[in-house]
Amino acid sequence: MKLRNHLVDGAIRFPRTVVVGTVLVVVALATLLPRLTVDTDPESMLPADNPARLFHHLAKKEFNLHDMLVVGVVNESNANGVFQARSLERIYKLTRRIESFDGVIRDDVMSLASVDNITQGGPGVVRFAWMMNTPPKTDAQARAIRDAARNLPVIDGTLVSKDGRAAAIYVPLRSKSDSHRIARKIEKIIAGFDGSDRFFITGLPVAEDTFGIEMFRQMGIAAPAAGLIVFLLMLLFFRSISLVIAPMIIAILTVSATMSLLVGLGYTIHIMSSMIPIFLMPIAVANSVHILSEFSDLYSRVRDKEKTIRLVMDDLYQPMLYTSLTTAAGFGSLAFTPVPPARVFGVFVAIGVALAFIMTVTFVPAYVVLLNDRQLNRLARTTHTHEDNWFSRALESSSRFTLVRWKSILAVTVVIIAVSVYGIFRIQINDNPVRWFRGHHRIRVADRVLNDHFAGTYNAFLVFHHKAAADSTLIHQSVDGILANARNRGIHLDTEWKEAVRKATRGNKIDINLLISAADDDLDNSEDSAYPVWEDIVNALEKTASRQRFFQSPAALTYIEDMQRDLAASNLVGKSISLADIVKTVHRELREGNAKHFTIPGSQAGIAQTLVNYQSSHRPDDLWHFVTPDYHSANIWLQLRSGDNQHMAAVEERVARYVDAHPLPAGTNLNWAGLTYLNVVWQNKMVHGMLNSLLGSFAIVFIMMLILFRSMSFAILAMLPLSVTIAFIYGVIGLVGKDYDMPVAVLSSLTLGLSVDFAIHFLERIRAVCRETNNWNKSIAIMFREPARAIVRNAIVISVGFLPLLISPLVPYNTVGFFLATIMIVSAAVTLLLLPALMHPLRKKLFRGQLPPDQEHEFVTEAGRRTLRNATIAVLIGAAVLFAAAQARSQTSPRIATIIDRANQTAYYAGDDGRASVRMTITDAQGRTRIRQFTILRKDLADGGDQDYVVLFSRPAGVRGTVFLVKKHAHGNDDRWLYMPGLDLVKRIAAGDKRISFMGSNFLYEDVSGRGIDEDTHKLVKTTPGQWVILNTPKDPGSVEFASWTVWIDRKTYLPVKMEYVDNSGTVYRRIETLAVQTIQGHPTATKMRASDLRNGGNTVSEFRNIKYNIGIPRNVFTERTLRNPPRSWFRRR
Amino acid sequence: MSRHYFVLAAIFIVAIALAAGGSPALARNDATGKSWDNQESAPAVEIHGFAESSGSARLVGDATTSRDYPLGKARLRLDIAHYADRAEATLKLDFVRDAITREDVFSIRRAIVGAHVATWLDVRAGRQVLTWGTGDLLFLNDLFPKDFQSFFTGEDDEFLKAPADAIKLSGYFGAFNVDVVWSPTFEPDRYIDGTKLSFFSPSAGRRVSAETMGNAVHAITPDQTLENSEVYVRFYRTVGSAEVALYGYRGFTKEPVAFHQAAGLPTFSRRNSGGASLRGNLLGGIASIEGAYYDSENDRNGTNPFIPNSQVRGVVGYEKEIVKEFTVGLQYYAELTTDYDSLLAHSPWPAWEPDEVRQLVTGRVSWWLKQQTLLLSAFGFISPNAGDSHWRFSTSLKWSDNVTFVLGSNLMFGNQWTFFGQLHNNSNAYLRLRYAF
Repeated sequence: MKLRNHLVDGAIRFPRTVVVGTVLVVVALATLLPRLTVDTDPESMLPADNPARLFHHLAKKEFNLHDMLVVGVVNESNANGVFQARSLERIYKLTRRIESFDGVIRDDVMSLASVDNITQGGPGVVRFAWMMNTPPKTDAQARAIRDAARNLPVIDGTLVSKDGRAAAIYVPLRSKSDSHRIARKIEKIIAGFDGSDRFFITGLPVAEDTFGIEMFRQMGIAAPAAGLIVFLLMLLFFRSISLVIAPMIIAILTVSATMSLLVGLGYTIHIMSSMIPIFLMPIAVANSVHILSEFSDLYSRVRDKEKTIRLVMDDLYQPMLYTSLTTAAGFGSLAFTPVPPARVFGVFVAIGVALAFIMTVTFVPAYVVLLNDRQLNRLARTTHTHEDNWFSRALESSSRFTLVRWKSILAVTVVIIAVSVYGIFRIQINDNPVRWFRGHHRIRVADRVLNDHFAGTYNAFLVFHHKAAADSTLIHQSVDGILANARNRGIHLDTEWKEAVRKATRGNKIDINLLISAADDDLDNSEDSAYPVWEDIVNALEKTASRQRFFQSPAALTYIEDMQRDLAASNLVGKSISLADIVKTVHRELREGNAKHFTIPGSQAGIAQTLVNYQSSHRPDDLWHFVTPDYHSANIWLQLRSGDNQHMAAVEERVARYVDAHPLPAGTNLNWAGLTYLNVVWQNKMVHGMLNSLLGSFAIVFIMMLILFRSMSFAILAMLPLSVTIAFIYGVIGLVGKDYDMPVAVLSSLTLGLSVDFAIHFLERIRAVCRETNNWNKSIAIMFREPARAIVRNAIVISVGFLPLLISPLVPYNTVGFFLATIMIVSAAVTLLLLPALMHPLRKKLFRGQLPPDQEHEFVTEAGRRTLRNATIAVLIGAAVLFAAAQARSQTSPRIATIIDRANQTAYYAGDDGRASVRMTITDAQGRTRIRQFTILRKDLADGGDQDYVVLFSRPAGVRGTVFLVKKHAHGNDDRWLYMPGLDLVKRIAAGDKRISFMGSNFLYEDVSGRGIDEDTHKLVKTTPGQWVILNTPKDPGSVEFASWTVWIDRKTYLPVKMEYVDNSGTVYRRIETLAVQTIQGHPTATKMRASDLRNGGNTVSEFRNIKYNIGIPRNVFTERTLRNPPRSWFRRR
Repeated sequence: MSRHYFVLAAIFIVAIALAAGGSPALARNDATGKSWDNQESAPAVEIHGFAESSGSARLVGDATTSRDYPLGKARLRLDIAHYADRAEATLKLDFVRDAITREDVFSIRRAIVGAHVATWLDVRAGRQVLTWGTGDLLFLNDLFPKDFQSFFTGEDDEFLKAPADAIKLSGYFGAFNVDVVWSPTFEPDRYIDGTKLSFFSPSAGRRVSAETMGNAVHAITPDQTLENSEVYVRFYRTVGSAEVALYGYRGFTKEPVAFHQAAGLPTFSRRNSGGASLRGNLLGGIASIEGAYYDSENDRNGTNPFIPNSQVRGVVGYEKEIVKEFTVGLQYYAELTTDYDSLLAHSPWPAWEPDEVRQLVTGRVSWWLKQQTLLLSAFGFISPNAGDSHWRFSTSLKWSDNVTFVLGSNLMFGNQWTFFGQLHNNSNAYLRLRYAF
């Protein structure tokens, strides 16, 4: 027996069980919903390990860059704009308030009230004074502030508008996800100001964050509104509330089951997955409308609900199966795009489609059977009167039209396709998250006004990185002496040295970093006698390498300056700021403010001197936004007036061409960072990914059609409506000049999946009808009764039903509304007009010999073949969906063991070794403080394995000179030694318990060196957009004082953010928090942590400074020698 | 007398001023704020130190002395250091006003110049405190000078180690490391000479002190010749988590246990020693074992009653933190005098000679409380065969990072001729107050 009969028969025979069972399953799934987590960051469009995304974060950390929102202040009613005492006072007050907000990087807030004015203080002296220490008393003072600010290239156009009438505040945020909240708080303050100043808030972070928030609001409004209209339209067509409720129930059940599954499987709701309900609703409704339409038409004749529904299902099961399969294939193909959220979206829409199909073929028949006859009789009466209403008559007349005017129809189609193809070639690929809001939205208004006045509120960063490539003579000079000395002592290392050089040679250059690591390897493998020589060699090489403060050289700065000049000339960039601008400004002021000295000093020493001068300003750290302290990396901050990807791409192109024409200094490479740039990267991936998945699913749908119709001609016919629809829609997009953006890209799969549906229904039915009637004209006439009515009803219900989306303030929702309406109307029109018109001249060939084909095949029956084929398809598709789901899952949410492992690596094994200065401030319950200050060196013997630590105390005086050496064993007890300088005693410490106080602080030894992963069982209890929450329960509860501990791990950095320890009574008695994080040499590092004793009071704050990784500490530093004679060079060198 | 206090006060003030000027670290010692940022570059010369006042009182009447207080000191320590990458110079100066001897003492506790000559060689020359070995307050191979007067009168454990003028070469090789210490002149222990502590004199047959003897014990030290210089050697390496070491020493007994017949005074006799130790993790604690052979070069067959016999010494120890912040340590120590029969046969006071095998059991309990600001500790030496014992109790409170109070006692019991029993009358309780900067 066929699957179809099983399903349908079962539903008809046990209707109550099916209805109640379905509802119960969905309700059970819905219990998963509370685990919902949300991530609206467009950055997540890129996989977490995408190189561009990683680089962006690296650059952000390297240069202490933060996502910023921009507050602009404009005054149109005053000739001097905001440069009057009252307005500046407001800016002053606003700045101070903003600085006090939680989540704002206080020290990096850029405002006239927080930056320095740079002026000359006599020859060779430069003076730094607050630009606006107190609000100006008079308008003249306000104008003086404007003139001073305009004289500083770094802030002219950024904090002061080019026309000198508006001012801006740049608010750097700790986290993008705070931007909406902070923007709200700023708006609240602004609302309290009187006067004629107008304040605007914009910037990509606030646009993106606001979009995420509004998106969910829309999800709550648009989807129910669409549902209501769909319901009303169906009521209009079928006039029976009880019947029309069925598709609504299926829509609700499908959406809720799919979303529950998505949440339950641990996926976060992203911008794209939030649109799943909107997509699933029309798809879920569509099949039911076909059933209801056919049922209401047939019932008036058959008058037996069971018999009618069986007839209906016989007719519709096959086409519904195929429409569902094609739709699922269309969305499922998204699983192969390189965009993780698109994968999740595609896979779950496909799952939803499958769920909708199963419910349609079981729930709807069961539901219909449960209706009482009185209700159905009323339905029969109303539909019977419908049989000859205007709607049916219009359809029937169009059947004659298609046959008579088939040539005109074909001609019009050809013209439409030609125009569409022209349109397609005009498609502009472009996106800009700010444009996801409608034009009148306050963010768009702010965006327009501020970019009109200022150099641009969109940021991109051009990051230069110089790989210190010392020239080979220098390298040899530094090492030759050491080798010669060694030779005199009978140690011959020349062969090894040459081999190391050979290994480090790339092309005809020696890469000094490679050479150092090669020499390091030799050091590790060397014999005792050679060991010191290799050590000297490594030290000498490092010295040579560190001599290369490249971005302090005139050559490097001049290159940057020239590139900026080129960018300025291109008019693509509102403004660019770099280290060169700072150097030039300070240099000018050093030379008595003379504008002709607005140049880069000619020597490295000169540059270094200007920078030293700059360091005495109130914001010395601003320098590190433009160059790294080692002067190996520098960047140009570009301000763009538009966040359009096209614009950004043009800038990128311009820079690429410039670099082609003016090669980068040797050893230097160039990369992009910044949100504006990241949007370009993910969009490119999206466009190509979507195009590939579209082509792929087009091919899959075609193969399905071949299987369904077992006829090349019918398969090609089936593909026509969807091809024409896609061509038409994208043609229109190209012609009206709408950008091909994220929502448009996603919708291509919807177009493909939905627009083939009508063709399947139509062709499947017309074949059956032809077989029955053996008469083409008669068949067409029949087709334009129930089948055509079902198609048109469907088209109207869905296209009109989703019109509410058009009034949403979010553009992607408008786009979905437009697409749904167009898909439905165009594909219905193409199916009902083009297909008959095309089949008419081909009818002889198409229906040649009306013999059922199964008579020609003797060995396999038709029914058996179909079952086999359907089963194969189901298995294949099932496998593909599962594979894709697994693929998507593995990309978005790593396994818990991986999280723990990586978190452990990040927190305790960054780099191969490292050094940090640490200060612990221990505050006891009475508020008394004690200090432990020390330098800590660490070397990993194996990643995730054994480590050596050595700690040299410098404070308090009583423990000064105390050295603490730990050989941490990942498995087994650590070895610990303490050197007490007063006693000259190396004491070995009994290390019975790792959970005792580290040097009297609230940190435990285990907090310092890490707790063994194997000692606990781990459970991922929650995934938030930013963090994983993991509950850890000790395997041996007797060995520890806690019952369990919970760790919050940052999903981006993998750093533990918070740890809480719970005792047996369930009380949190101990907490460790990460208070500050910096990325140091690419390693996210907690630089400030607090351990609190919640039971007895008191806490310890640990601050880490001078952190450096991979400094190449030799193993012999971690020995008794170090305990007695700490090698100061390792402890001091920075 | 008041003049001395003026001098001390003046030195103290100068030192504070110096330290404040010379060392930003010091000036901001108590600052909890942001000063840390600016403190990154270490000062060229670091000056630290402490001022300490300490005193102890006898708990048992001592007929041999009129002094009820074995200890009464005001001490100013200046610790001046300069560290370069490959060299260092450090100076530890003590300005002490001793209320017992009524002396103002200026002593150099440490004055060294150190250099990292090569990656495999460190050199330190000058006055320095040195230690090695694994015993806890028991010294077998650690024959560097000790100060037992301080040890029994209630001074900080730091002062148990006396400085020596020496050159120390440390070699680091892959297979092993070696320390060679050469002390050009013999530096004896600061032995109990009767000035502050009374002791048992076998010749007198009772406890004596400087007051009863008329003067403090004066021992004849070996001539300051190259031949009489001391050499200490240690070879060591770590195997897995176990530390293995071999020791050697050529010099003299550190106590005046020999007798110079011509002068009629105690003196020091030649002693060479060799030994080995092993220390490592065992059952979650630290186990150690150490042995040494003392070769009495001038009395190898034990016939000379004026020269101590050769000895074999051994100790095994185990220390474990049994409860959080609560550590217990146990040691068993045995000291075997060779040719004991010969010793007794030639001894003028065979009744008072120690046993052939002197045994000691030591126990230590350390309990850190109040986040390691309060330390309660007890240490006991018990000799099961001689029946004497020594108990050290102390309570140490770190009031703040700078201020530490220590209250404790040293109690000695046993027959008057036994090792600890002779010191019974010196049992004392002490109080120390230290301000570190």
